[in-house]
Amino acid sequence: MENDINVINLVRKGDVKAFDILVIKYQDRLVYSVFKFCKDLELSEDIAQEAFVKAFKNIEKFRGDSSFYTWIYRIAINTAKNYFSNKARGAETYNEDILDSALSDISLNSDNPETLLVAEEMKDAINQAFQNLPDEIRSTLSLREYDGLSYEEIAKVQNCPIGTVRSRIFKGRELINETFSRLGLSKTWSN
Amino acid sequence: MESTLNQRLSLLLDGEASEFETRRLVEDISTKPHIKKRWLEMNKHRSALRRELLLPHLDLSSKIQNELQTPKHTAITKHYYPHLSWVKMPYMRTCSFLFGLCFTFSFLFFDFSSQPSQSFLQTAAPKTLVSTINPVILDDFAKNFDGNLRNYKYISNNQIEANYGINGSNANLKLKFFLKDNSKNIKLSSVSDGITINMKKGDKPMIINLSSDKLTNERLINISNLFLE
Repeated sequence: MENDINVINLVRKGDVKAFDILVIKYQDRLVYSVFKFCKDLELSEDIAQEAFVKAFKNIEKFRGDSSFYTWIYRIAINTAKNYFSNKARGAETYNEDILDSALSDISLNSDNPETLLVAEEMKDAINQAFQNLPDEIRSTLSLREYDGLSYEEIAKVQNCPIGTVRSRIFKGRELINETFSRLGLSKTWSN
Repeated sequence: MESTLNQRLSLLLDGEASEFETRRLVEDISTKPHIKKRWLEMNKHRSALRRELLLPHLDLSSKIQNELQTPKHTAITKHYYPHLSWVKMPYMRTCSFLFGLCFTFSFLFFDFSSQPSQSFLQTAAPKTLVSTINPVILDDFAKNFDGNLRNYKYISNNQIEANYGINGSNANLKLKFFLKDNSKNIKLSSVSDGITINMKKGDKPMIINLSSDKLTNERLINISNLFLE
């Protein structure tokens, strides 16, 4: 589970800038999840945006018994439900089972296949870079990124000091970033 | 230095930064565009690694910040000045009048054809300017004229104002960026001085007004030419 408690505590004190940290951290994931639900890129962005705004306004209601992402994901899904019921459309699309289905045919359903193609290329490139990492670094980063373990948990699993976990993860990210820069892909984020 | 920063951001990404460090990073990310850019990149890398990336350029943060700050202001006004409700109607009329006036003048002073140009037609209209411009781009603009970004603020959904210092002098440069979309509505206001240009950033249409207390119009034109190049 992601631990955002320090950032959330700042948001609870009304720090809008701290909320920005959460938006950047979860925006891609949230838009991706909503897109699976509504199959419309622009609408997914709008719903995610509204969900973030609602989350900020109701941050006091976040009890911390689930991760921030789980919480905002529920808000986004409820926002989408409201949207579809208000518009009295999407009765077929509005099926929560779809949420769990794999997104195998993204480009076919997209209004913007070119952008999605770029995204697909990036995912491939970054996963290739990940596969090329040294074994120890890759396994540590994998436990963090795919299994969601904390540094402490990883240290226990790998039977090494927490400082080693910290430096392996950092090193892994640096290597991936270097690969990206070498391929000239980093520019894409900020263009 | 860069490595230390990346290490701190890496800890923040994993929720492993201390409370104190989190506070420092929140401040750094919100005030230093290059740190925000790095934070954005790290998160994009993570999203790509988890195969959750749909839109490489997606950045909702500016739009959300803008939205969060605007209604808050309204709520406070309503809360603290309930006795002023009687002035609502004249106030609305005045605002409508001023809006109409600005709208009319914008057509008089700027050459906006009723149809969008061919190049604009080829471009999908961004919903808001905020989705087009982010602080990283504002920072990049400074490289055109050897300046540095001092601060910026969102005036509205369609307008952002950035203040720059010119390196080696005490002159300032104010840039106002406006959305121009495919519709016939021209969302342009508060341009009172300086010079205004139409240009494109990437494939997106953009209007920029340049003004300064100290720089001459000739100098402003020279700078605007650098943008156009």
